[in-house]
Amino acid sequence: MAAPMNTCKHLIRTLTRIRKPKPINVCFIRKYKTGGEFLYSVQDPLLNSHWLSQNKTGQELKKFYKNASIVQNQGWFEVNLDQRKLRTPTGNLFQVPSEPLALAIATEWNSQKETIKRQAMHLTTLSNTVLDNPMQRSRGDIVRGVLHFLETDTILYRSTEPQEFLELQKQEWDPVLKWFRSSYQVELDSTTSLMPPEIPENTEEVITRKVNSLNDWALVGFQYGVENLKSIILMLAITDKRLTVEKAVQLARLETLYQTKIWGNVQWHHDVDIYQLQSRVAAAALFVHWCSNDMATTHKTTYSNQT
Amino acid sequence: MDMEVFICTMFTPSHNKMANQQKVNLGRLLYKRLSREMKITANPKEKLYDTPVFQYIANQFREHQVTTQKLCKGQNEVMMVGQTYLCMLESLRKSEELAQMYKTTERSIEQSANLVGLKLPTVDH
Repeated sequence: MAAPMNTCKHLIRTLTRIRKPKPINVCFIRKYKTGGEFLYSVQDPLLNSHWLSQNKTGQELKKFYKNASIVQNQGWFEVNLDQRKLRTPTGNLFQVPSEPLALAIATEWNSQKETIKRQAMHLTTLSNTVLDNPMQRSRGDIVRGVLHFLETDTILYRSTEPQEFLELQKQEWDPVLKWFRSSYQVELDSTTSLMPPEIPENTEEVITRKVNSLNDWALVGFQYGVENLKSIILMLAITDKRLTVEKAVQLARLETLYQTKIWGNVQWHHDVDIYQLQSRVAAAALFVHWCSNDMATTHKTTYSNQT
Repeated sequence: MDMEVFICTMFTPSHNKMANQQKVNLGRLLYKRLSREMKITANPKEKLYDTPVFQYIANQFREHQVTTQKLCKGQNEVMMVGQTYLCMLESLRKSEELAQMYKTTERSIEQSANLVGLKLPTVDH
């Protein structure tokens, strides 16, 4: 496996270096560059591959293959980069339960130009997260993480001024809230104060059951989507095919949209934000769809063993 | 942008009885846009028709000609999946274009140190 070998080499090198004294500044820089390889990025733990865009010397990884294809192996789908099997960051075999998902991942790898840009490969990253489980999360952990967003759901928090914005919120967010209440038979009110709204027990139960009904793979995708949209209701609307991804991202950024209409749009900040959010949420939605129901075969995975 | 707005209005429950012709047109448009995205991002050496991805997409369109309601999750389900994938491809491409457009070179450590009148310590191998 690649990872333990590298730690051994690194260990041996640092042990032999101890004898030669060095200026502290340079040591610090060196350690950060090599040590940073083995840390998952702090800002976004799910985007666990920013560091893999660089190899040991800190240079960008060149595209080392010509073609990515998929193969089927005992009900799982694997990705081959030019005859070599793709592996996860910790060295496990890369396997996904669904054919269109594997095809999309192969496309991600095929669409890399000269260098590998892992930050653009959302589906690969999500699959790696499920296969490796780097944070050692159980199903319960993930479900709890999702439900945290219930009381701080974006479309429940209304700001009372300016009046125009209040109207806009009612106009855009209320229909979604109405759909949510009727289709899940729950009560949930919006709030205008800073305190989270009261969540009735029934609501919490229904939503917990709904989230728990997703299998391990779909659950990770769902949680990623909720995290990016900062709203369970919007993510449920996407997975229930009630909203398009573009519309949901628009609703999640309603305040920013309102402000940019008044004060102007900054292309390199706002537009980049929109496109990044859209690509992440779309990847999450696709992951959920392709990994659930009859699109995927159900297998025992890493999460099933834990409570 | 207009297309997305149009699609959103089409998928509200009040428009349940969609004319067949409109459905077909939407499908054609989606197919065209998907092909265009795949052409841009995929390998230029291969013909698009030969790739397994494209064949999968073409099969999906062929299979679901009559109805896209495969599971009880709502109308035009498979079409929405296609649109979501299209959204992902387009957003990735556009964010990459913006990054290229607005990229700047980062100063090296030596240059940043020189800005405040300092020099880097010498490296002892």
